[in-house]
Amino acid sequence: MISKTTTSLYLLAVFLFSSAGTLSAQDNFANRYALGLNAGTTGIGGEITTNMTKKIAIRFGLNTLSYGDSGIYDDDEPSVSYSGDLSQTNFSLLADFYPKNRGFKITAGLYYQNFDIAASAVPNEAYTFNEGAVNEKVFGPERLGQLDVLVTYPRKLMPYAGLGFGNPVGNGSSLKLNMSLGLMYSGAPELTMNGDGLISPTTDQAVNFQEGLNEFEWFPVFNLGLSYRFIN
Amino acid sequence: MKLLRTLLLILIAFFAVTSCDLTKIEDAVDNFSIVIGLEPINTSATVVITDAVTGELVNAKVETVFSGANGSDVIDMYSDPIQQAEVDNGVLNFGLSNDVEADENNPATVSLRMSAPGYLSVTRNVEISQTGDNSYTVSLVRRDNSPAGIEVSNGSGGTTDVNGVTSEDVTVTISSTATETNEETGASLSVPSGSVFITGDGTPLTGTLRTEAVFYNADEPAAVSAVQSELLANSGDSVATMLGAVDISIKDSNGNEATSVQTSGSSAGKAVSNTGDYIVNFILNANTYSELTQVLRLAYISPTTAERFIIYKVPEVQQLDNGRVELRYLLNSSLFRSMALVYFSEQPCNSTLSINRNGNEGTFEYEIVEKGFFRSGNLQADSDKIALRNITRGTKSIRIKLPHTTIEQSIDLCGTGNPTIELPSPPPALIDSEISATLSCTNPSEKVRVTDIPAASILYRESNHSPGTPWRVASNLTWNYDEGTQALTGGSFTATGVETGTEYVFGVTYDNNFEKTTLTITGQQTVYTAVVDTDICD
Repeated sequence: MISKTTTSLYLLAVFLFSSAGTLSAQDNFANRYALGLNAGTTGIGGEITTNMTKKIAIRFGLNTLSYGDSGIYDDDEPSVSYSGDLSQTNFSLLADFYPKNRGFKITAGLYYQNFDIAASAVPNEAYTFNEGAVNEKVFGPERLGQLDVLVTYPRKLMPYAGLGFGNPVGNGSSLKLNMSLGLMYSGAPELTMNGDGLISPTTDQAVNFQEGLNEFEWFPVFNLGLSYRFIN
Repeated sequence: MKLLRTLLLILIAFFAVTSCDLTKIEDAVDNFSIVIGLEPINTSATVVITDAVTGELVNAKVETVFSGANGSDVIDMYSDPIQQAEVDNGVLNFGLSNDVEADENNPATVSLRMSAPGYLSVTRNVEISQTGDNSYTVSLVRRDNSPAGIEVSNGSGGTTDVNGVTSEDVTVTISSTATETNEETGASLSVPSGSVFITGDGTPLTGTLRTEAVFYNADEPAAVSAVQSELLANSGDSVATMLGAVDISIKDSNGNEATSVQTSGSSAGKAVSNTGDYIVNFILNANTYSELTQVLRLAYISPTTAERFIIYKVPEVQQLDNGRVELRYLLNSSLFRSMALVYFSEQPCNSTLSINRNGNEGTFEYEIVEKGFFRSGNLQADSDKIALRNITRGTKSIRIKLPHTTIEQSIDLCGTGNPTIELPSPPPALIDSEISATLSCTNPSEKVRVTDIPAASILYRESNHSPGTPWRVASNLTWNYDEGTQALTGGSFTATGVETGTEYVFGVTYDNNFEKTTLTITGQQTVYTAVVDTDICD
């Protein structure tokens, strides 16, 4: 089922790109270019758009996003210091098909995406076994150890299909508002969990998380952007 | 409208495709717990600490200091090296570093120095001769309830002036009468007036002095077993046999304990020629003395260094009534913690005692007894041999404590080719039961978040037991860690010599925890659920 869907997306992308060349040869019009900025689930970035025919435009984009967070989780004992970094960079080559010569578009193409989330957790305080008992045992954070988690997509090249509004190289105002809504077939992300110290067996639970992540084979894309057509 | 309908269709399709099953990831997050992984310990020891008279577990706080050849290899359940441990439930569990591979030919030896409030301190050597769990029993003698052959006496040592100079002779006398022979043996200490008792750091004892003396009768196995083991340690290849031993302690009201004495003048009418001397007397059977005159030695343990010293002095001998003699030793300024009159057997032997189990499974305690000589240990569950080293020549009485009876046999271990003891078959009603336990926490939503409980053991005895019924140590204890649920889900062990339909108390012991439950044996397979209330639940 998945391979069929993936194949269909590739075929759609190939169709749109090959149609662009064919239709460009049939139509007789001037090429337009537009530069745009956008933000959304693929990060923040820009793209350049050019029209191949009256109904087809090609976009090349670059988006990136990095985000870090850290803090202390103290609902449990021992409290835990955590830190995490999300890193996302992608290149896209997309073909937009405007069936009505208006803003509505059908899009297909490819993303090349690096996406990973790295996080680590370290006990923030000593932990005491048998507290108050004769053989009370205190373990310092170093002895308890550390957990490291990495979530990444093994697949880098991701076919995309979607819909949207706004034609950066269409008629009318040079400044356009654009919206894209679609899906990348990313395959399931992979999770690796490493640990050391006494808490290292905690990493056995990576299996449970991986089972959950196996459900996430589609990467949702929702981007909003502004573009400016600078060559008429 | 057409555009709106299209947009709605698109949105529905979008969410239909991306709407993943979040249940699994939510479960993974909800069930996430920190799991503690403890390193497995290959060789461990369970020491059951009992009261020498009642046979019950000692519930006072027992402090154990580890020493001996493998004392530095002792670890706790977390695999951390430990030099001492405290337990207050009568069971001491410890492990040996995995670097140590103990077997019958190369046993590991750990010396346990145990002390507890109200009990006499004792030192025991345990020989660990196999991997897995090894069990031992150490009896502690309560000062106010000692077994036959151990006499405890507390008395006044008079008073001193502000400089610690005693105003009168300090005399400590103690004796014991053997149960079977009715022979009286004893010891005494005499320190002349005008002396000063001094602590290890040079402080004089002042004010009112108190004395405590403990005498160990060589005719009573319980007494011989209670003597500090280092006092009767081998001297080279020679093995010590004792004829009587005494511990003496002199303290002031501040709790300062004397380790040496400066003396002057005379003591109890007997001339003390050198400053710093004091007198120790031992009383024993005249015939025994005449047989052993040439080989008698005085062994003592220094209170400051805990070293054992041998004195080769020839004592003054005085004939007493009832066929006894008094041996009088003039000693110098160092006092002693323990002292024994001993002789050394120069040609001890090594012997392997074979045990024909005849269907008796499990761990059994054994004792090897002769006047002044005592060895004890456990026949481990998966062994049918007891390797004995440095046994004195002569016939020994060997006792093996089975669940249903104690058998006793006399054997000359050094003079018999292949010494063997045939155990009687166990009563038909007694079986070995493989017991499987499922662990759950008091809070049902929690689980036991450790991978293993290293160096743990299971003790058991009948619920309806008579006082002093010994706890037995179960064998083949294994724990089940389920990687799927990341929890310790249970364990299994073998309880030997149990009776179907009878209720037993089982207790899992680890790191000074002793969690008990009652269970009725249902047959060769018994299953139960143990609810644990411990901080390893999460």
